[in-house]
Amino acid sequence: MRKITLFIFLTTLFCLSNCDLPHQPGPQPSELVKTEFEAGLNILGVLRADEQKGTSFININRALTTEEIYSDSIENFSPRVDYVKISSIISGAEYLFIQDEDTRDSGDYRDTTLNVGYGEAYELEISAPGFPMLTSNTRVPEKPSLVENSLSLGSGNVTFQIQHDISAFEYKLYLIFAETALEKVIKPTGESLIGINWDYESSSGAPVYLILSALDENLTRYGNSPISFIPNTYHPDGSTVHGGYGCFGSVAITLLELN
Amino acid sequence: MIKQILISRLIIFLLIMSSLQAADISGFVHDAQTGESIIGVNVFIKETGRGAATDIEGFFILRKGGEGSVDLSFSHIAYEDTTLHLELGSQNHFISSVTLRPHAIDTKAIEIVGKRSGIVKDMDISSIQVDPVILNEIPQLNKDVFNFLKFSPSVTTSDPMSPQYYVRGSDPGENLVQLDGMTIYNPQHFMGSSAIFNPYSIKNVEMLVGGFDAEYGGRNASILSISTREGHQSEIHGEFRPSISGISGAIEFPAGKHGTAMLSGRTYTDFMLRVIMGSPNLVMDYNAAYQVLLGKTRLRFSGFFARDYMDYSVDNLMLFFPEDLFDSFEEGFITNTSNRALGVKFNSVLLPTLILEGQVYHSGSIVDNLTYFNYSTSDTSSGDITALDYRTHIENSITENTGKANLAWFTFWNQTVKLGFEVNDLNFANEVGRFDAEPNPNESGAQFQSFFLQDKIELGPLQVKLGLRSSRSLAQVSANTPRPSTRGDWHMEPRASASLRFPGGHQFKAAYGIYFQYLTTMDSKGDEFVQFLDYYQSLEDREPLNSVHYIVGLNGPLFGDVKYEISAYYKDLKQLYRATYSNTVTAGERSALIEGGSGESYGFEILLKGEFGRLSGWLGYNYSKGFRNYPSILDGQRSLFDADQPHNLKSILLFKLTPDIVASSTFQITSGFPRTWETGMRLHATYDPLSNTFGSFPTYITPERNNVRYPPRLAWDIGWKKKLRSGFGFNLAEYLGGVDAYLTMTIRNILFLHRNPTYYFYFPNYGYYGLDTELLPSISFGYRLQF
Repeated sequence: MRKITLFIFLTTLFCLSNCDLPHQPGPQPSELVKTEFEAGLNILGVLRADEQKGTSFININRALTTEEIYSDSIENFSPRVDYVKISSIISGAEYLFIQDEDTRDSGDYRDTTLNVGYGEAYELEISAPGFPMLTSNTRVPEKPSLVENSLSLGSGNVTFQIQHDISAFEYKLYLIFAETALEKVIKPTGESLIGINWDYESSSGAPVYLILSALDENLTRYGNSPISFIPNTYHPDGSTVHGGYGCFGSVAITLLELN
Repeated sequence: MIKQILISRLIIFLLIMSSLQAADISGFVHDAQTGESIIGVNVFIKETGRGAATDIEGFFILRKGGEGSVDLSFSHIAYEDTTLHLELGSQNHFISSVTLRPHAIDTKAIEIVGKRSGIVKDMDISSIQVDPVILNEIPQLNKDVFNFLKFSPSVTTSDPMSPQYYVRGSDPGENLVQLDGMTIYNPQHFMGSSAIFNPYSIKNVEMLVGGFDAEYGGRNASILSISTREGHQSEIHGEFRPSISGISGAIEFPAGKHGTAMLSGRTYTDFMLRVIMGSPNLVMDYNAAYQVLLGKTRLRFSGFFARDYMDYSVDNLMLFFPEDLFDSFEEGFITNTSNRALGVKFNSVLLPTLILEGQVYHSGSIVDNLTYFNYSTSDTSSGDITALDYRTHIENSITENTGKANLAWFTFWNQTVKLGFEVNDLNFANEVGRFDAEPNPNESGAQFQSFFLQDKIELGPLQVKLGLRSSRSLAQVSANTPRPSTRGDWHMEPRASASLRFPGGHQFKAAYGIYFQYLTTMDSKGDEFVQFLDYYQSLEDREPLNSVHYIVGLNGPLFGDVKYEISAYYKDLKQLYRATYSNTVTAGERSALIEGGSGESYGFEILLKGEFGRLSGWLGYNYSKGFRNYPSILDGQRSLFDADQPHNLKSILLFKLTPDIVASSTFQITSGFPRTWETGMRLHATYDPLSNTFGSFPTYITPERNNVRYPPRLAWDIGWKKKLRSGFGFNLAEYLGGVDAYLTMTIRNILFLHRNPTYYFYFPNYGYYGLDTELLPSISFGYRLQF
């Protein structure tokens, strides 16, 4: 019995001395395929067609290594950029976006002269020292519109029909009240007319505005791409740009005042 | 005209040849107490030594039984040996029922584990047959058949929290599970990954992991067939298992003159989740069966229903965090699934050598899974907004109506000819992605048709089985499809296997087969927090999944009561499909985007099983590799299969400490899985058109798939089971009218040896830490009452 007890004790001691306890990192994964980090700019660029100038923006930062993002400070997160150029494919007009002085640290770039045209196509080119040239293009959706005389307002309910255009890959609709706003996301399925039947709480009062926003293919794909925050799982990158990461897309806005 | 004459003359010739053979002896074997049919009874003629074994229905047939007086012996580990004296004439002899008296199960349980665990049927090269008594003896398996099967060398699991399993390098969607012949979709409960079948109701479990005959089809990797009890023919028996989280019970009883019935059910809820997290949850499953003998026809009605519901929210934990930490926070998941099956099956002895079986059933599964993680927080000094709006929503429904029948003819030259057909009518409904709008699932239907013909020939020590299965799919097709259509094409599935016995009890086996499958499943690993369920997708008019299997094996006695089995396999996965959640949402389509690809897998397995003194069980090792090629992954380059585990060592051992106490050990060391190691992170923006602003959240950059291998996985649990003969538990059983009571104990992760990380997270200044679900040892106790 004593020999058995001694054997169990020594075995336990041996196992414990050779195994990692919960507070220790434990054995690490081993490499199968050598994979390098590819540095690049990371952007969100939105051309906004809303019959106003200066509402479009490009936000620029960069991809980080895993160690960098958990460090106390990240150097050069919004890197210096040589130029941010947007060109109209149809007219050839070029616009240089300048870094926003008010938000210098966050990397926002704007242009006060660009009035984005519905249905037009634009190209983006960003050059920054130490990074590959980043390029992309977008086709702005046509102005979203309702079928004539389809809008109907009831108590706690609004109905209408959207005249769908193939340039729109997703619609985000907003019903604006005095103090609140409701959102509805619509994914077109190929029909030319999209019927909407929208109920709301009567306590919100009567809606004041209806905003239709039509997103282009890039913003739709990027916005719907699954975000990989679950570690150690593969996700195709949802980026829609070349030479970097992120998205350059466009949105067309229609504002309707409701009586 | 000439053709008809030739066919009729051939049939007459076969009938004449059959009648000229010496008499065959056939019949059914039943338990003398319960009336249940007994599987695996050795039936042999003492005078000649010729033998056979009873099949899943308890049916046996001895070829060329001879004439005159013969002594027919019946032998089974759990029953007393029985001998029948017969006077045989020239005609085939049928015995409607031979009854065997059972041994006391407890004293024989450990022997059963050694002798009946992992039984390989005579010809089947890759099959596992499990006597449910084994599940009673190993408490750490929770009496769950899937927990047991994971210790087979042929079966691997990918995620410790997911119930999905992989068989010899094939995908989870290529596994078929049947309950009394009815296909069950999503056969596991949401939490705990346990089977949705009450263990008490299970009579037999058989799993074919490759090289299956022409009569089996519909899936390419494995067929798990679960048979339920038929019911006690003369008394009321059952089981009752109360616990703090719910109740499980079963009862079997005679129903009418020639009928028996069995009812079982389980209902559980996790009170800790309800009270602490405010998360309602419910898990339940119910099973009912009624069987009646009408002359030589057995009619069986089966019904099944299961339901899982959980609304899990982490929001309540935010009470413990500072109020102003987040502007908004939501995290959790809601799962709502149900499973059902209802059918009738008949088995009729038309002649002693002619058996007709048929079945009609309905089954289906409905799934509605939502996971979400939304939060926003703003930096008051810089005005930066960090926001995440993450949501996965999957609605999936599949319904099936099936009719099938087969005729088995035991004819001359020791042949067993089988022919049959199967027709499955399926409907699919799917909606995937984030759909805030009204649900509008993509619906489609398909009809699968198949016929098969199979012949098994026994020529002394050599047995050969040749078969041909022909199948096709008639599926609804999406409009404007650019694919070349193969709708309605018949696909031939030749199957061949051979078995050769050598002196000394050794046996060599080989099998070849082509397999087609007409549906696939969607992979949501990495998008949902854990993939608990399969989401079934119609292939519409695409080419079916196609694989070719080559298998060889050798088995026999090693020493004493210890046996060995060695098998090697190669699978050419000519046509595979990958339907992933990511594909769906990126493409912006409501139906899953299905991508075609291919792959291969190969490996070998070694299994030692049996009994040595008071020790019994098995020890298995397998080496396996698997690869995949898909155009969208790494530009079509070959990549490692997600569940590729080169080395696996698994063991289940039982040790009889005393006649009333059995200790058990379940142990496995397996290679780690391939995983994707991210190279970096970038901010992913969520754009709001209303305010023309955006929030962002860091997301991983993963340019290469499966570029690292996790460390080896190790798990060692021990169990202990004691039959109570005194004390409170025993007295309670007596008071409640029970027959037996048992106490069980399970110790998990003894000595902190478990290594089963789910994810690796990076911690500054420390490096990568593995998140493990079972870091600390645990002890649990159970009480079981039988009546």
